[in-house]
Formats: sequence, structure tokens, C-alpha cells
Amino acid sequence: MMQRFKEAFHYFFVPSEKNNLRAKGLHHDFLTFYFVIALTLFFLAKGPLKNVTHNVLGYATDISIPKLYQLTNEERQKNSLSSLSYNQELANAATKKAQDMFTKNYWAHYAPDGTTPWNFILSSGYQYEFAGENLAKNFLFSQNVVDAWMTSPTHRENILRSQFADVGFAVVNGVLNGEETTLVVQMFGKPAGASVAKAPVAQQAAATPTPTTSAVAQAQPPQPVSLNNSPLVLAQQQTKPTVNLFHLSFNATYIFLSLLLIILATDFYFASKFKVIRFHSKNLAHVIFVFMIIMGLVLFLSKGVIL
Amino acid sequence: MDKALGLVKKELQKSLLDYLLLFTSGVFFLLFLKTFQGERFLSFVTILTFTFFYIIWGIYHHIDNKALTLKIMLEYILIGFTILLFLAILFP
Repeated sequence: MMQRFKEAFHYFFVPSEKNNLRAKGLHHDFLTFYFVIALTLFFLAKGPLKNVTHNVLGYATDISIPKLYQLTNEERQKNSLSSLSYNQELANAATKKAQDMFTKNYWAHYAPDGTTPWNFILSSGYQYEFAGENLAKNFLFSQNVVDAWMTSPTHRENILRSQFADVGFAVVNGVLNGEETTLVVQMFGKPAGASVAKAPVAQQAAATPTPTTSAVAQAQPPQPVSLNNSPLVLAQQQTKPTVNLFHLSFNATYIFLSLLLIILATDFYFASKFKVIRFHSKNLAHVIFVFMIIMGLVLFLSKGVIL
Repeated sequence: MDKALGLVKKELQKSLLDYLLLFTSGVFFLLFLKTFQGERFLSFVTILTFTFFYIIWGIYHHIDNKALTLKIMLEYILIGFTILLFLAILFP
């Protein structure tokens, strides 16, 4: 059994007379096989079956509110700060803000008509002493969103501000500037009338506007809040996910690129070691191409922009 | 390992300008991705351009070396389009 596995491994990765002096993984039948797999995944993701297989539809992301909430609190705990409570009013404000950005087609803390983030917070019924907002768009994963915020001094300051007690998130999909976009809105707050008495200041990542202050304190006890896992999709019906096709596709891409790089490297190494003379395409060119694609995927494609 | 490095060196010496062109296009590919970070359509156009460049580069390089065959051309196309399809899934 082990011997057969070794032989198969050798046949797939190492050039020899058995595989016509070229790793089998690089033969045309195998390259066609990879292509068919990619084509199948592509049609599952983009074709008529997409509604059955996943819920993020054309919006290719795997960002969830529970994960964002968990990661935000982990960052606070690392800095010996208390965890933020999830607040549904702030979450509603964040959702309204995201929907407003799609409706009015802007990507900014302030709407073109002058609406501020604080308007959304107050209109959701959250009377604050301190408030803040972080924005992100077109990230693929929750971890990348929080990492990007933590590397920006102003966003990091919001996450690690000791005055904040509550947080709310919205992950909303829609069309912004003609492009399908995933927006993440994170809103922080400290309810008015809570223990620390300081001049009211609203802290925001990009600007510090004068907030509307209110004497109304949060009178209600905190209520249990359910963290909705699915992003909102504007003007699109959501379906229950059966398979996380996005994760599957992302992992398949990484596995394929890594496998191809390994086969190219082993084929090239053993061909040079055994001084095999061949007449085929250049492994070095393929390696440069695959390497650049992997670099692009890791460094830039899985990340979006923050504001 | 020395033999493999020697072969890389030999290949680079033989077609230095070709590989320099491919590598430079790769650097530009990364720079454009950095510039268009968060802009999904433009990022995808960048990937599409780099993939087509790689296929055209492969064909040109083998024509230049008088070694172009249909099988070689097919290899570049299959690798390029497979990667393109995998990445296209990640874009809306």
C-alpha cells in the first residue's frame, strides 16, 4: 500500500521515464483536469446554481458580525481593556449608515447632504456621551477588516478607546459607484448618563465633529441581542446557505496555486538533477507567474479599504 | 540544488531580457493591485491583463527560441485560464 502511494507520488511530482520525463501533474491531461475543476467551481459560483449553493451570491466575502465582534473584543482584551457590549441600537444605526451610503452613492463618514454618523446613532434611539465610527469596504474576511483597522492609528484609537462601552456592526452588500460592494460599518458608543462625567466628545476615525448631546440616559437594562451572521443584501432576496462556496473556492484557489508551485519546483529540481533534456514550456516562467499571483492574492486581493 | 540553480542561471543568461520583461510586468501587476486595492473591477482587470500578458509572453518567448509547438501554447493557456477562473470566483 505504502509502496503504491510512493510510486503514485513519484509519478505525479518527479520526472522519469514512466511519465515521459515530465511530472505527471504538469501533463496536459492534468492541466485540463485542473481547468475543468476551476470551470465547475466558477459555474457553481456564478451560474444558475449560485442561489442554491451559497447566500453571499455575487458578493464574494466571508465577513460575519459575530466574528468582527469577537475580534474587536480580543483586541481590547490584549490591551487590558474591558469588552464592549453588543448594542442593537448601534447595530441599527450602522445598518442605516451603510444603506444611506448605497442610496446616496458615497463612501465617507459624512453624507453629501451633511448627514453625520451621529444622526444615525441618535435616530436609532441611542443617546450617547461618546460615539465613534469605523468603515471598511470590499474585504474578503473579518480578520482582514480588524487587522486593517488596527494598523491605522485613528481606527485603532476607536477600537481601543477606554470610554466606549458598546459596539454595533453592519455588513451590507449593495452597489456603490456601479460596483458590487460589501460595506462594513462599526459604531461605538458610551451611553449618556453613564458613570464617567466628561465633556461630550464624539471620536471618529477621520474627523471629530461636534456631537449632539442629550441628557437622556440609557434607562433600559441591556437586552439580549442576537448577532446576525449573514450580511444584508440590498434589493436582493437572501437564501439559507447550504455550502460555503466562497470558502471552498478561496481554499481551492490556494491549494491549486500551492500545488502547481510545488509540482513546478520538484519537476524543475529533479529534471536538473538528473540532467533530463526536454522540449517543453519553461517552468521558470510559470513559477514567476504563479508566485506573482500568490503575492497579489495574499497582499492585496483579500484586503479592501478602510475609512 | 546547485544543478537546479545553475540551470536557472543558464536559462536567465540565455533569455535575460525576456525574463526581465516578465518579472517587471509582475512587479507592475502587484503595484496596480496595490493601487486598486478595494476596487474589485479594476483589480480583476489587472489580473486579466497580467494573465493575457503571461500567455502572450510565453508564445513570444518560444517563437523567439524557435521552440513553439501547439502543446507548449496550450500549456500556457491552460495554466493562465485555470488561475483566472479560480480568481474570478472571488470577484462579483
